[in-house]
Amino acid sequence: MSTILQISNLSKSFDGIQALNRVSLDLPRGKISAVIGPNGAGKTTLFNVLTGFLTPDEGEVSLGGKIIEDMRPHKLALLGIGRTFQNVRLFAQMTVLDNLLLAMKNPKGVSLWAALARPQIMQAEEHANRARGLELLELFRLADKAGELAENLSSGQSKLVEFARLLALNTDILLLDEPMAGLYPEMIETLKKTMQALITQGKTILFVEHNINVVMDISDHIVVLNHGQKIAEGPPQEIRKDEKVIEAYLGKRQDASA
Amino acid sequence: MDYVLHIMVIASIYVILAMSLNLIVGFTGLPALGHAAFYGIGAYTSALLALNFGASPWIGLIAGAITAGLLGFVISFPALRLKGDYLALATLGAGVIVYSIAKNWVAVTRGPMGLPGIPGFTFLGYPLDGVWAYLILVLAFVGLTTFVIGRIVNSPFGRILKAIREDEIGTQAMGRDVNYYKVMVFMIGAAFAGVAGSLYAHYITFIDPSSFTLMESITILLMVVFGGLGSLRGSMVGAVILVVLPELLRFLGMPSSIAAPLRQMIYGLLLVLLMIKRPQGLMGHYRFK
Ligand SMILES: Nc1ncnc2c1ncn2[C@@H]1O[C@H](COP(=O)(O)OP(=O)(O)O)[C@@H](O)[C@H]1O
Ligand SMILES: [Mg+2]
Repeated sequence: MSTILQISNLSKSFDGIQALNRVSLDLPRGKISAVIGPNGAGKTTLFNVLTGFLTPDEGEVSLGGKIIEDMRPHKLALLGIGRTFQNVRLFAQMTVLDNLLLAMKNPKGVSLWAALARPQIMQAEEHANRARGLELLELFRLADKAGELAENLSSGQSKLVEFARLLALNTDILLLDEPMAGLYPEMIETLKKTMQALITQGKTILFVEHNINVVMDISDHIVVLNHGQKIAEGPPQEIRKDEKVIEAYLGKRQDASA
Repeated sequence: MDYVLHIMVIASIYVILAMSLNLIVGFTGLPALGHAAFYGIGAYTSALLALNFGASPWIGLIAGAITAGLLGFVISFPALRLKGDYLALATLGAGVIVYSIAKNWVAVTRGPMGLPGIPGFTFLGYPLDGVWAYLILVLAFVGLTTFVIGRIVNSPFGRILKAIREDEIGTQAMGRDVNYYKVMVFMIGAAFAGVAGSLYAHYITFIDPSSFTLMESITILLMVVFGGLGSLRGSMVGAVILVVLPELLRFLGMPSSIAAPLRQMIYGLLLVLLMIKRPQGLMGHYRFK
């Protein structure tokens, strides 16, 4: 099993709170991995460091065996590490389709020169991107919302559009921060299927999720954080039985209550 | 008749200023309070080249656009580090610095005495005599500004500008280098303000620092907000209304000692009314957050 993203000894503290404490982790390529842990365990902080929105106090990240030197957010996205946000971040006063188009590669259309000599240079690219954007929206039955301003969506729809936007970004690694929170059960099923389909296309997923049934159901690998520390790691069947995990979730040993 | 044409020339120059500021403030969402600095440096560059070196106003206009663009480049650097109110204050400070230089570098700018006798534009060797000829010239530049900025904001490039306005973090997460776009937008917006400055200097034939004060920056911003953030048509309407309206006071026989302060009160009142009735501006769709 090869490693796509190698995280070594990442630490991050916020005035006194050790949000990440020397966390190391090998993300297996082409698999679904989950990060679980109680609220405040440091899951979102891990994502923020991996996507360059926070600078770690120590530690490093390697992609495909090479240490990433430039950890600016846009560079990491271009390197192939994409994410969604726990608190959905859409471009509120723009249309749903524009939200997706912003994520798509448009090497021709994005230049200033193309803007001025526009029609000829960028049209084919824009057309293809629009078609692709509608296709992605259709995955979640949201194609009819393409022209709607993002701010007019329900919170569930926003979440799905943000996910569709990440698919539009088309990164090798997808970091999903609580993608299922607040979704209807049918949509959770759709999302699970979509995640599994992404794996068959060679993508790697790391996701944070509180719905433990979903985590156990679709994860190949589970990492457990507590108080910023990795306390366990392994396949679902092992994590299910892990004493430290049970303790972290229940606050005491299971057998102590017996 | 010439008076009406004169007002139209002035209004057109403000249309260029308002559209170029709208690119920065309205489309990209960067609160900038120093637009008069770009306007002023364009005017002074063009005027000084003509007066000291006999340069054609056309050369001056291009040079004015370039110096203003360079100033935009410099001012964009605080814009990369600062957000919101702090950015507004930093750009305001830059405006004050440029104003002070114009006022105090007497050896070059003649300070408060100003620069008189700036030659007018010529076209194919013929001087542009008459206000109507200037109006055509200025309208041509309004057309150019509308074309260039219009194309930019309606392109994929412009889509990224709007995304920055909506959510910088989200824009970075899409693999877009937010800093690059901010620098570009400041440079382009500044360059067009420099063009407006050159057009103004060679039209009025006299400039002094009092035309490029903080109040001037605020007036241009009012035009943008009034017409609508993120709407080029709004900037046209906003600039024309805010130039023409005070002139109407004169027709009511108001002495200028009263008309001048009244003008500012009317601006203030209009703005308050608008913010209550239509916060997105006359033609805009976007709201400040
Ligand atoms: N930007 C921040 N500033 C200060 N404290 C933060 C910040 N982000 C997270 N924290 C703190 O770090 C800890 C871990 O937070 P987080 O990573 O969001 O946890 P999780 O996502 O696992 O619920 C919490 O105690 C949280 O309050
Ligand atoms: Mg979290």
